Amino acid sequence: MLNATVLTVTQLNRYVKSMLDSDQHLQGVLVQGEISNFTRHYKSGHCYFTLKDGQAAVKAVMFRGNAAALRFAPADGMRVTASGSVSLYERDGSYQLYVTDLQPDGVGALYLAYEQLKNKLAKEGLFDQARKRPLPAYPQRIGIVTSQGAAALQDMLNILSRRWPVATVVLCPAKVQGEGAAASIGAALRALDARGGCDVIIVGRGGGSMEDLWAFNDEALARTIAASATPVVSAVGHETDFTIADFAADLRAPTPSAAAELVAPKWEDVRYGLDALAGRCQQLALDRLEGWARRLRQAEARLATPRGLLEQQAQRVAFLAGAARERTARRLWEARVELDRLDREARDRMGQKLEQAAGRLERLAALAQERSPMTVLSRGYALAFSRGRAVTSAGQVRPGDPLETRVRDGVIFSQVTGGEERQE
Amino acid sequence: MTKPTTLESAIKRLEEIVAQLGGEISVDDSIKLYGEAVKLVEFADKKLEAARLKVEKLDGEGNGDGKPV
Repeated sequence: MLNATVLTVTQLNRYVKSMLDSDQHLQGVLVQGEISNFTRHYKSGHCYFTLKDGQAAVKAVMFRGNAAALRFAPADGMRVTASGSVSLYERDGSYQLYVTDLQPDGVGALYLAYEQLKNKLAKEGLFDQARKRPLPAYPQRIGIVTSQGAAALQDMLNILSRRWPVATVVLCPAKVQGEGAAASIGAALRALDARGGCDVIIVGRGGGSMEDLWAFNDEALARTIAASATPVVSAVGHETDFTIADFAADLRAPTPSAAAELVAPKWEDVRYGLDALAGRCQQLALDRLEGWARRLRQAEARLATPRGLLEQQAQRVAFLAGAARERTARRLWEARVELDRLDREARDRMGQKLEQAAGRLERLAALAQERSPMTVLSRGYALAFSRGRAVTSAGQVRPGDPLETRVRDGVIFSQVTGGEERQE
Repeated sequence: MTKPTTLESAIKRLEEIVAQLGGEISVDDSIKLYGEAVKLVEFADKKLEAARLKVEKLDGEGNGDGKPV
């Protein structure tokens, strides 16, 4: 094509770019390849790398916003599937892949399988909340399926022996990662369920990569867990790891240690609860005995009332007496101990009452003292006596009668010379 | 009166007894219940106090016998 028009480089690149941008096939592409020359621009945060296979390579860029959403760190040598679009970088005249998402190859496939299985089993109702069974409050036999010698097992045993040493742990070791792990875990769980006599079973392992935990995403294992007659607690990896086994189990524990805490009550709490129950029983029983004793006393009191009443109560008393006879020697002894206690208590209370009464008497004596005639005299009043009798009226004495006037500190002798009664 | 076999059943029964003792009940029954409660507490006590975590091992392949390890 020979033609008079001369293009600038800029014009050429812009034209090619527009051709690429308008091609639908190049706008939503999935490209599989291996990452090389990966760099993350320290300032902008954009990622630049090359995707290559055995024969060819293409430049790729992933802008900061997209790169930040990745759940893994891309690195050289990693096989990935990139999704994005193809365009031209005008400055260099080179075309490149503008990547919006990256999936690491192996894990991408696993993740897909996981999601598919999860949806399938959820549709079947295997994960329904209604299927979940409550855990026993005080497990006596706790089954554990995990790999022997693992730190996770030691953690669980440590927590259980500290928290709930009442239990017996029934350990059924299994291979928890690699070839045949899912089948091994399933077999161990079935064995424990059938022959372990367990109240609850923990199935789990410590943390690891997604591949390490993969056995717990097995369909057959999920069905074994769901079919277990014994409640199952799953305890796989860390807090953030979710496996199919977790959904199928009656309870998901975030970690093996957490599982140990979830299945076992705290010994001290149970001890305290039991003591409280025992105390409550005793108190209620003693209340009953006291009520019984009071009824007996009332019956006795009625015996002392007139014949008519006595006859009226005779049946009641006979019933009480009969009931009393039926009690065994031990029960009578218990009642007597209780009555003794009540008696002691009553005596103690009586002692207290006497002390209170004594206190009151003292106060009364003080009051009486305050009001006695002698006290009055000290305030300047006098008492008059004549022939041994107190003179309380003017008409009581005649002129010439002897008069003794008592004051605070002695007696004054005198004779009546006259008197006058006040008219009232 | 049934003999308790597990800590769970013992504590459950104790809770029932407390509820019954708190309600309308004859003297005879309350004494009977108290006697049962004493036995239940003794049983639960024994279970709690004899506490030392035991570990048994079961072979997943089907030839284990639950012997202590």
